[in-house]
Amino acid sequence: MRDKELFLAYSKNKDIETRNRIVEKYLYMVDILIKKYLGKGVEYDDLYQVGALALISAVERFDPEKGFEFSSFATPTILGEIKKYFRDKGWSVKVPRHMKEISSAMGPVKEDLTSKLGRKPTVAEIAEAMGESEDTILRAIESSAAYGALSLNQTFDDGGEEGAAAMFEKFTAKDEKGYRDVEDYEIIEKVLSEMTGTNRYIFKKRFVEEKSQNEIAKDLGVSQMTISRAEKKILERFARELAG
Amino acid sequence: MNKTDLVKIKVPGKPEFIKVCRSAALATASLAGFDVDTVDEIGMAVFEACKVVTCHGYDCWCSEYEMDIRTEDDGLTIEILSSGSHTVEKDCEICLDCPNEGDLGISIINNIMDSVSIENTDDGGKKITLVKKNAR
Repeated sequence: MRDKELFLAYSKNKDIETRNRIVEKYLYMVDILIKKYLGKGVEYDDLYQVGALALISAVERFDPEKGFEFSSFATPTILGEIKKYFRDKGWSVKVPRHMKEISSAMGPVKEDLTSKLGRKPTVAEIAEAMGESEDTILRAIESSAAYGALSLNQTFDDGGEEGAAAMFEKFTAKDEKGYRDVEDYEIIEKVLSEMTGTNRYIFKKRFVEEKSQNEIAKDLGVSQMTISRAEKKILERFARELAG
Repeated sequence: MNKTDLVKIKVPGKPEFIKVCRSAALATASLAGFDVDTVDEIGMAVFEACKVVTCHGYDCWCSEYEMDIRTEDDGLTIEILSSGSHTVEKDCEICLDCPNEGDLGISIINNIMDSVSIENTDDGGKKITLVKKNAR
């Protein structure tokens, strides 16, 4: 094991100086591990700090007696903290922060205006209420940002493509802050932005307006089976992207 | 006083250009004062309508088509009009979702719009007319 003596010395004394010497030797790991997350709108310094802190914690917890290489031990810890950092930021870092705020705020603003006006608000009215340009709101509609948080309360066909449904459910499950994993969000966003016609309509009715397949079928004058098939295709689309 | 505006877009029949029509429709519907959900849905209807006119029932996408949007005080009318020349091969991402989807697409267009009519034109093309009234 590399640096075994150093580690043994540290685990005996737990003194900060030894700890820091070890950390310095392994800082190169942080650079390697954060590479994948650079250029996504998050500052290098922030990422590096998160990684370095995780490295320190790994050094403190490492047991040299177990016989493992420290780098193998530390990698998941460092990666875990970096991923958590992205998740805690609550959003895809590729989405401009501004668009993220629009997306979160638009739903409640729309609800609020709807009850005040007694009808659904126009793009202009929403723009004014949010202090944004109409163009920005239009852009939100054009992409999928206008849909905000997705509904989780849908039950999927039992007879459907279980893999696809389960995958979709898993990746749209959110904690209090938003999508669970920034990479998953980007995938969902990508699929959503490519859905512009029939699939977008079904998606919106099911997962944004929370309508049942039966309700949608009745509205459209088609069979529930038709809606079920369309939904299945949508889920498969997601599954294809998520599987990479 | 009756205020009418006309937006005219002519696009290549290649499927990737459908989104140009959708964007134009979204922006125009927004200017016409439709509510946000209706704007979104008009975009969906236009997307499907473009496919109906340019692709469904043909072996190839048409080479070029045109969309006219007329806005009036009480709403808008969208006409999508293709010529009879179908030369662009079907081989694209959009088509992944498309086979046998035609019926659902038409149902959705009918559900979103207040009125829909499809006719054949003299030169072998198709024309679809979509009308949406503004409830305000």
